[in-house]
Amino acid sequence: MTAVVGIAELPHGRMTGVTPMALHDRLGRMALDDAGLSITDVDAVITLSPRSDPYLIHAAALAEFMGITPPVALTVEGGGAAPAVMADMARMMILGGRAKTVLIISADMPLSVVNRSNYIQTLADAGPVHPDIERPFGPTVPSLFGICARAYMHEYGATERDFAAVSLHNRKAAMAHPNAHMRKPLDMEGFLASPMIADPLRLLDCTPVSDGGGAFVVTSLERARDLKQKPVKILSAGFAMTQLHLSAAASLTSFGAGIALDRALGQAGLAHGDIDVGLVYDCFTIALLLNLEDMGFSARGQAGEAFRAGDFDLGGRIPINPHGGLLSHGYPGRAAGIGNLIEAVVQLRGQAGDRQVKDAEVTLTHGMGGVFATHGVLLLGRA
Amino acid sequence: MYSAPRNGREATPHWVAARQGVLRLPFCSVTGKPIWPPSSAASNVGGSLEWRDCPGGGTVASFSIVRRPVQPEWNDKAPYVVAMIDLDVGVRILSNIVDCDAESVRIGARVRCMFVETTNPELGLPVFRLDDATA
Repeated sequence: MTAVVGIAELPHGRMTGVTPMALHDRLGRMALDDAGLSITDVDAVITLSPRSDPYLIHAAALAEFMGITPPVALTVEGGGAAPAVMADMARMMILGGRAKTVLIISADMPLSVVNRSNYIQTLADAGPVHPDIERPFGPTVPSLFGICARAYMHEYGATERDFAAVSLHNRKAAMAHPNAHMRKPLDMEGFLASPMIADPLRLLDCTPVSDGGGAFVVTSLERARDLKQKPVKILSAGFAMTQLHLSAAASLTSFGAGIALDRALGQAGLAHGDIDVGLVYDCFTIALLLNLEDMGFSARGQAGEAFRAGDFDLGGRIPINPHGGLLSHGYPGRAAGIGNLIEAVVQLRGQAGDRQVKDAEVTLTHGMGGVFATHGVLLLGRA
Repeated sequence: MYSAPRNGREATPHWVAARQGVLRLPFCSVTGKPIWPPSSAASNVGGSLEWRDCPGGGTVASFSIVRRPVQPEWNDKAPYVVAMIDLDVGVRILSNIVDCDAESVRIGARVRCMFVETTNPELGLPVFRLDDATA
């Protein structure tokens, strides 16, 4: 068994006075301090190449910057599912005897280094948009999610108020989180006043673009017991991909999140009902609705109503995104999704303060790449 | 004018045909089913891709009205409609619905293929118009 023993996160939003490399360095050292480990303990570094600092072998550049020469320096490509990929790689390396202390850092500064509009254009040129058969017709990423949103409205009679329920839920949660990007109060009137971006999706159906990210340290559970923090066990990881491009998807309203969850539950020998809190990928409001329904946390077409009924609140049936999700906690570019993993660890340690889910023992961390294309689910547990 | 699609890639026969006013799509030689995006999936059943000329009728599966374009060449075209079209031939393609009030588009509406030129004189694009007969 392996464990997450150290974590780090900084406030999301516009960061000044720091470079992308310095941000990685700072997060990495913070996570090691949190664990009570030293930089010299690190024998594997895993990163992803940030949009704001696109090194071809980013992990080696970072190791060089940090003044270390670990035997393993891997740069991972996994879209929004990357945090689960990175954690699973660390776990396999430790269980296979290839590493003892794995430092994982995922950060990006798309807001202040790249700038918001260039970052969004990158996504529409070569992100989830097919460069040959989709790009000539001008689809933006919000419009691809908008296509799913309209299909969902048509199939289930959902309305913009169902999308609003997600946005309001995540904003309310983020107001209690010191590292969240979007902390101003938001009500239905404010949501409906936000401009249409890709009809039926409004500005507040989309994540902000944030500078930020996070870092975490993985080691064996045996070693973890002697370290500074209460260890958090990595129980299992499950993955699924059904396509990359929306043009190749079998459905516009159902994708692979549930498959990934079932694989993770099977591996851990756990059931749906064992999960105490869900950190579920929500790059758009529609993404959270469909992912929750695909994972079986709500009947089809009913997730919006479940949000309104409080099912996903702190004291509800299953608390979802108590940190505010990507929609309000923040969307740090290529590092998006790392915040879900950090929050899971904070919840399992019991360090979440006002947003603590009582007696949280098992968390679900979900990340998604592309337009519902790749899914990574990580199940973590209290040791 | 539309920006040209990438040339010399898997979909090139589709764009070349569109310039000639033909909707040409790849089919699996074994199953006889269309395959989109073009891929090697036919090889999985021992077949190959065969390009066939198709009729241009279809139905709107879903759509979004883009009000904030992100690529410079689309800046002066908003609002415009990006749609998934279920072609009668049995495959879904992404395209635009043109020459209409964006607000009048509905899921399930019948559409018909037409063709537009691009910045590459050898490559065209299939786009769609609402079929007035069922509007």
